Formats: sequence, C-alpha cells, structure tokens
Amino acid sequence: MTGNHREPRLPRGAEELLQGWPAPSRGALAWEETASAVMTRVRETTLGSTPDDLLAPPLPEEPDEAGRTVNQGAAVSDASPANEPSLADIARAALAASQAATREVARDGLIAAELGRKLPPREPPKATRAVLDAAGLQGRIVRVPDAPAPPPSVVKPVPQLAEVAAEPAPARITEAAARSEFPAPPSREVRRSHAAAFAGSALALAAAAALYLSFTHREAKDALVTASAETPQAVARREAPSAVAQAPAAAPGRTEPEPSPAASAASIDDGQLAAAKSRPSSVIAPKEKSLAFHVKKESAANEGKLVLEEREDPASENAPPPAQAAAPPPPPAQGLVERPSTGAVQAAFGSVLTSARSCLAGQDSGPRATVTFDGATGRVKTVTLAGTGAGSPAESCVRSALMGARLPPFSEPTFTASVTVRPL
Amino acid sequence: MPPQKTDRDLVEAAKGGDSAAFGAFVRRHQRRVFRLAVHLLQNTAEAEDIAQEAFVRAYGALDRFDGRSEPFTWLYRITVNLSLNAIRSRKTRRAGTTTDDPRIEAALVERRPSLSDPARQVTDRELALALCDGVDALSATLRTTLVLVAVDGLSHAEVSQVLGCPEGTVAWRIHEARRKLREFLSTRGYAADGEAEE
Repeated sequence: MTGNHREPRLPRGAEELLQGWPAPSRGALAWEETASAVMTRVRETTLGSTPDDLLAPPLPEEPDEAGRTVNQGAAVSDASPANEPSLADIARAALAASQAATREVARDGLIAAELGRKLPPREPPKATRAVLDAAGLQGRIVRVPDAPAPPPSVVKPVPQLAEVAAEPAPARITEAAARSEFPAPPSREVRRSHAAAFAGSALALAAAAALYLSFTHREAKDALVTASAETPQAVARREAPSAVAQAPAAAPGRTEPEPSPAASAASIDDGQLAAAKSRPSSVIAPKEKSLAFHVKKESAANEGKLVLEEREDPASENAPPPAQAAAPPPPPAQGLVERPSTGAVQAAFGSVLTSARSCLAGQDSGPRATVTFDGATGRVKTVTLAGTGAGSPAESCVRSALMGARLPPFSEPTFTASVTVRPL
Repeated sequence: MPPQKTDRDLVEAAKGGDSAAFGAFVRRHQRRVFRLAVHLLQNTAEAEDIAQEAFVRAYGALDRFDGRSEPFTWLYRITVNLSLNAIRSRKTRRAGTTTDDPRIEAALVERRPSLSDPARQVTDRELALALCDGVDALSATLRTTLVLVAVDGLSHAEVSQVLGCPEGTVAWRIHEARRKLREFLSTRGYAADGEAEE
C-alpha cells in the first residue's frame, strides 16, 4: 500500500522511481556471507542483551503534526487531533471509569429513552463527561438538532435519577417504550402467550396431519364412530397414532358426513389440546384394552368447542348392537394395498436401523434380521436374528429396536422382510 | 515439500533456542532490512553494518517479543532506531546527494532500458539525484515514513506498528512528505503531470 489517490502526486518519473526503489544489488553469495556473519554474532549473543530503547517507537512527532491527521482515504483534516483515540483506547477508557459512572451512563440512557427524544439535548452527566474526556471524545460528538420542543405544559419534567432508580425497571421501560418512537420489545407475558399459541398451532397441525393419515389408511378398517343425538363425538382408536374427530351431529340418528381433517383440527380448542398433550405418556401409550377419545360438549362457556374425553372404547368392550351403530364399518380390506411397497419397507427400517446399529457399537459385524409385519396393524410381529451378532448381549437391543418399525396396514396377513444390521 | 514456516513460527522456535530458525528468519528478511537501511543512511557499508546489527539486536530482544505485532515490523523498528542513532552520531552532515550515492546506482541499474540511451540515462540520473535530494531534505520523521510506505511498500497499518503512531498520523506524514517533495522537485524543474488532488 502506497497511499491513496488524494495524496499529492509527484512527477511521473519520480513517482515510478520512488515506488519500489531497490537497494544496490548484491549476489547470492554476498547475502549468504552476511547471513553467516549475523548467525556467528547471534551465537555469541544472549537473550535480553538488547537495550529497551531500541524497541521504543523511534521517531519524534513533526513540529506541526499535532492537530493534524489524515483519515484513510480522505483528505487532510485540520480539525481532528493527531493522536486520535482508537476504538481500543475508547474501550479502555470506558473500562477505566468507575462502576458508578457506568451506572450513571445507563440511567441517563434510560431517561433519554423515557423522554423519547422529545426534550432538547442536555449536557451529559459528570460521570459521562469523565468517560468521554478519558477517551478524548469530549467536544467531538456532533449533536443532531432535535425537533422543536413541545410547549412547557406538555413537557414532563425530567425525573431525578433517584426517582428513576427507585422506580421498578420493567415499569420504566414499558412506560418509556410506550412513548418511544420505536416499537417496544414484547413483554415476557406476551412472549409466553406467543409460545403457547405457537405450541397449540403446532399441535393442531400435527392433529390435522394425523387425521389425514388416519382417514387415508385406516378409515375402512378402524373407524369407530358413534353418533349421539345430543353429544357430538370424535373417536380415535388407541392403536392408531392419532385421534379421529368428528364434527357435531346435526340431526339425531343420522350419520353425518365426516368433516375435513383440517376443519376438525381447527375446531379443537388449543388449550384443551395442550392439556391433552401434557398428560402422562403412559395414558396415551397403547394398551391391550382399547380406549377411544370422544368428543364432548363441555359446558355453555365452551359451547361450540370440541373437547377430547378419554374413556373406554365401547367398540372393544360394550360394542353396540349393529342397529345402533352410526355407520357400518367398511370392509377391512377396502383401500388397502396387498403388500407394502419397497419404499415403505425401506422407510420402516430406516426409522429404526440407526438405533439398531448403535446396539452393535464396537463390533465388527452384525446379524441378519428377518422381520415379520402384521398386515392388519403394520406392526412387527416377530424379529429373528441370525448371523454373527445373534446370541450376543446386543441381540435384545437390536430386536427391541427393530420391533419399533411400522408399516402402513396391508391386506395380506403378514409380510416378511430381511435386513442386515451393521455396526455403526 | 513442507509448508513454509511463518515469521512467528521461526521467532517462536528461535525463542526456544533453535538458532537455525533464526537463521531462516535472517535470510528471509535481510534484503529488505538492508534496503531500508540504505535508504535511511545513504551509505552501503553503513547499511550493511546496521542490517547485521539489527538482526543481532533483534535476537537479543527475543524474550521481549510478545507477538502482538508481526516479527518483521518489530525488526523494522529496531532497524530504524539503529539507523537514526547512526545518523545522529555522524560528525558531519551530508551536504547533498553525490553521484556515488548507492540509491542512484540502484535506481539506474533497475532502469536498464535507459542504459542503451545515453541521453535518457543522464535524464534519469538527474531525476534520481533530485529525488534523493528532496527525500533527504525531509525531516527524519517524514523521510522514514515515506521510505517505509513508498519505497518498501508497507501498508499504513504496518508502518503504524513500526513507528508506534496511529495510522492517521502515518497518512498525514505521507501526505506532507509528498507535498514537500513535489514542491522541492518543482524548484528543480520537475513539475507534476496533473493536479495534486485527484
């Protein structure tokens, strides 16, 4: 770097000569001799023998250097001081200031925020001035003229620092934010409510997706819908990964058309869904005894909202007579594929294979697993391990992991697939 | 081929007693240190002595190199200090640049095309003489800063490390040195080609 373009240019020849002006040429042998001579002297030199003055900044200031400096890429400035403080100097000066001064600066900032720049600028407090003086910035801060001050009757008097300090900080900040031109940051309660709303929305979306899957894959086989004249119900099977909801019935004894999943999910109260989600997982875990979620109209206050109520599935224990059934269950095989596709099998294994492989950490090879799926549920019926990993302590771990694989239900009774589990 | 060690690597190794590492550091920088000394001292023999002394002094101060700056800027500072001490200790001041000034020789050797043109060779020599006179007429502070920036090609940040002053001061010194040099050259009949301020 040789300066900027605003520097005075020399005559062309002189400029070319000055740039990279060489030293007298010497041969490589001469340089090597010099280096050898240096190293000979270095071997006789001890560390610490050099006086400090050789390490000090070498040159005095120019007589007229004070008060003059050039910003990089700018023209000469006579206004700025020669020893312009760097950012590091400013930071050091700020750190050197006392804590009290720092607090006062912070309070001053609070006051400024509270007033919302509606008052004419005032001199910084003494401590602030001390910090600025230490950094060499006092008098160099350009104050942008504010808008004209409002009439005195409108202007709120500047609160004393003690008052500001005594006032609770959140109240001060909220009040200041209300008057400020800038948007206030959301309060903790608002953020909490936002989080709850977000969680509720996510749950509703999940329910909608689950409903869609449920209607797509299991409607014919698993639908368990009971209709009541007064109480609209939504039924979800416990084996299914989601609940099945139904819109309120309009007329007694009449089978209502199933609502769209999105509509069902949207009509569910977020808070109630969150409450249902917060239930212990053991309640939601699959059991031998079948349970169902029924839609219940909770109270007058909650009229129009659907509430999920868990109770024993009448379809499994007290199955109503066929005449009372709201809708006859569709044929079990209707809409089901005969056997799962290769992609579905790969996806089913892919979801559990990592955990199965982690069971074999440290081993050289793993077993070959033969997995049999139940067509009605898509769940794993049996896992048979064979090969090098079979019989090892990790076998049960692998078996347990593979038992978690799931396939969409299919019409054939069973489906068997094999996979080799290799160690991670 | 193993990657070349950085200056910091070499200096750290030398601090640990590896003299070969310091030898590599010397061989890497001796040309630049010599050139700097020549332009500050205007004397080849003196510059050789100062360059050697600079490395020896640098080795003697290795224990105080804290790594906050580049090793070569630290070495340059020692060279500048030694050169200024040598200039101060001279019993007589140079009256002006002579034709045996090593800088003139170096400039003309570099401009080999002019060697085949006697007229241009004379012109170049006169220009080099005038430029040397102008540089020597500058104060030690402006001259050293100009040599470091314009001749040696250091950045303002590097020069600020060598000289221990803010970059803005370096920039001002360069501006001032060029302004004075241009004025000096204009008195010798070398007018600038265009406006000073672009």
